[in-house]
Amino acid sequence: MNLVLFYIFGSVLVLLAGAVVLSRNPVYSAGYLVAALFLQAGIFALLGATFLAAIQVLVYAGAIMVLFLFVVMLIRLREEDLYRPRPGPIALAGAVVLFGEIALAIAHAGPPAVVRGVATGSIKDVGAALYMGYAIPLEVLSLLLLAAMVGAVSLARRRPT
Amino acid sequence: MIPLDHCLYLSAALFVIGFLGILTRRNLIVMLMCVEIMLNA
Repeated sequence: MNLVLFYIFGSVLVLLAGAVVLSRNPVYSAGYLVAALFLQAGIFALLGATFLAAIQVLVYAGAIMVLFLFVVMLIRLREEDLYRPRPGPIALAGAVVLFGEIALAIAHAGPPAVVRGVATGSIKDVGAALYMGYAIPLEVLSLLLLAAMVGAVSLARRRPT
Repeated sequence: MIPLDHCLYLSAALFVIGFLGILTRRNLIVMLMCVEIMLNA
């Protein structure tokens, strides 16, 4: 049952990702990406990472994509900016070659050499990894976010005339 | 359970689709969305 659901979610996820890339209107692309993130949260839940699935829906689909939609709807695109995206034959051939290469590498790789303790993606595992293993990158990331906020505020500030 | 290989194939397909999107689209916001697809893959 899990396997059937995984195949259904996976195939619809690939179709939605293709719709994000190929759709004409960026608002439609954002909507398709929100649906794709929901489906990916479903795949996370199928693999046992329930906390990651919930956080994906809350943060990624619920906050980040909502901000994307704000920006896309605020930049008023004229009608001539909505062109018909048509991937050329070179891009399609390159994509097929790249996927074939990665699939070949996956097929030739044997079973994983070292199996450490399986982390399930529960709250305890994510918290332990985030605050004990990756504590320093977490602090560096917060500094990066602070720099982004300061940059955005200074860019949007009204210049004194 | 779910075979690891199939998860990796799905991840590779999503990565390639996102990569194709970055190369193809001209709108910067949609390019950022394709980067997000790659990161999710």
